Amino acid sequence: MSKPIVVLKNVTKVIKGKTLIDNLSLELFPGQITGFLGPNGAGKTTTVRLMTGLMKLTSGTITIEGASIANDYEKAISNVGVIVENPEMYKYMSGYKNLLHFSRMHKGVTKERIDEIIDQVGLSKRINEKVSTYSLGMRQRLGLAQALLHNPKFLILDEPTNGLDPAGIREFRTYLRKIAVENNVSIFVSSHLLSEIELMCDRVAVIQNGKLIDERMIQSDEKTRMQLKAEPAELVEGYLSSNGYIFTINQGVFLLELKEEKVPALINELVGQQVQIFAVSAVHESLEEQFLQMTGGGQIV
Amino acid sequence: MFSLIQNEWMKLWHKKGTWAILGILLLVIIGFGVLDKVTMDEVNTSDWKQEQQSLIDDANTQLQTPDLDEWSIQIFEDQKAMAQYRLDNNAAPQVNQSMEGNMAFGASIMVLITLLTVIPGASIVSQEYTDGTIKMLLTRPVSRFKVLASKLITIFLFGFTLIIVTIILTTVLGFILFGTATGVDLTIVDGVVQQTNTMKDILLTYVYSLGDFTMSILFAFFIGTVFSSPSIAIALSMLFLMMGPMIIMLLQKYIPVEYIWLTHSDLTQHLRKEYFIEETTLFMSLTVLAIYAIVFLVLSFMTFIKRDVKA
Repeated sequence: MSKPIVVLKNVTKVIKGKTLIDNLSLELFPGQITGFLGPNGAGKTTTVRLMTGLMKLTSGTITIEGASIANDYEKAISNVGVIVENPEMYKYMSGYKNLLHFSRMHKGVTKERIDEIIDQVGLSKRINEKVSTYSLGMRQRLGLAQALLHNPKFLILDEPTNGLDPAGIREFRTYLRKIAVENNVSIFVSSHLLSEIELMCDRVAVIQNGKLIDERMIQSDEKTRMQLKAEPAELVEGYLSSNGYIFTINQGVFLLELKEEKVPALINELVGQQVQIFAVSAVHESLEEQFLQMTGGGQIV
Repeated sequence: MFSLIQNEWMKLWHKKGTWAILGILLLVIIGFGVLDKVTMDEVNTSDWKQEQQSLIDDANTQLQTPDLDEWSIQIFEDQKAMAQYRLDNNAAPQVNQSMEGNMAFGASIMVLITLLTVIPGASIVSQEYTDGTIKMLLTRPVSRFKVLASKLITIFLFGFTLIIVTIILTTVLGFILFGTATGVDLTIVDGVVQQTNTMKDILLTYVYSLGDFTMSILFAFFIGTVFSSPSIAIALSMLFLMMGPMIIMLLQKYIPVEYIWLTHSDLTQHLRKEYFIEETTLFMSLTVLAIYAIVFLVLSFMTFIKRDVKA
């Protein structure tokens, strides 16, 4: 794997004696879309604000392309495009004036680049109208346009699909995937919508109570769990435990960690033990189930 | 830095409120000019000598009154002296309705200009918080210091624009409606009658009014930045601007008010030689104002730069 572009090291944020982010370390890589998942109030938005310099670190470091956000802010942030929650634009100006406004705050964003990005997000027709007349979907696109204006190497999106219709979400997803692959941009998407993260991201980091509790590649764990319905239960249980399988029993159904290629061997063994097998099936475990397991359930919204 | 000011200027003029402010100012200036023209008396300038003579006679009669208090005596003596001066030097009195008169009106509405500048001054920072645009503005490769400085400069630019508009409009309008003034204005300095230099007076009024102008803007900007609420900032700065002298009167029993900026911010008291509290020097006033200006600025910048943005 290539070198990380963003490195969070022992990041801690304490506000009024309350630890919002607790010793969080995370690396983000070019060309990869990382989902940042957690129940409400887990510290997602706080983490994003720390990464964008909107909030100051209590301790720890955040570096973007080697530049520290605390000590070398302007250099660090120059590689970052941000949409924090709803992109709040200046409603009393046109979309174009908004982009012009932000372009003046970056080095080397030309008029041609502004036109190009307007075209890419599909706002050409309405760009000279006031933002107050835009639909939520159009505002999201404008938000994306301002975030991508300066060709950032790192894109931070906080709850990006709030208010987008299903078609819009799909389009948005495709677009993000495209810039991640084509421009080798590292993308960090915070969301509490699990299905969203599952479809969009290569990798997911899970946060709870300000702590990073899990980090994994999406789809890598799938289909390694098998559901087995067999009798008599005592015999199966005895066999599985004596042969070192990891499993759980739920209403007479065994759930065990097993790779697909090992399934025939296990069946042969069990049949040899006079076990009656009714069904063996791969468990397609959605991220939601994984997430619930990780966070102990209940707290997800 | 230039492009940041350009940004702020663009945002400012895209708000309807800014145009309303300009509209109010134009309305007041044009309204006053036209009203003045309509109600203007037909002055017969030829018999001014007779008029002056009757002023002297009148004063003499009044001075005959027994048990006249010192203050009244002074007034009538002055009236006599000025009328006598006019007759001796063939100096006709100035007509109020003139270009100069209209320009003097312009200088006298510096309080209004200040008030109108305080409104965007209080909201230029706070509105970014209430609109949530602050997070878009600050996640850019520009230091927070520069962002805030560009806003402060823009507000002063806006205020000076209003002043310049007022100067030009009152001059042009005054000239069109009334033409330049004839005659001279008199004033008595240390018992000696002198001709006043109207243009110099107008200029000085503008310059001395910059005290209130600057302090009110800095105060509004400071409150707007610290509280990030436009309404609180506008209300507080207007209160202090309008009621400043009254607040000082109330406070003077309890605290040494000569160290409060409100006592000094109206620098025209040095021009009029009429002081709120007690006589003070221009140097003293400027020193107090400078200290408060620095305090307001330091607090504004410190909170803006250090604050965690949660909006």
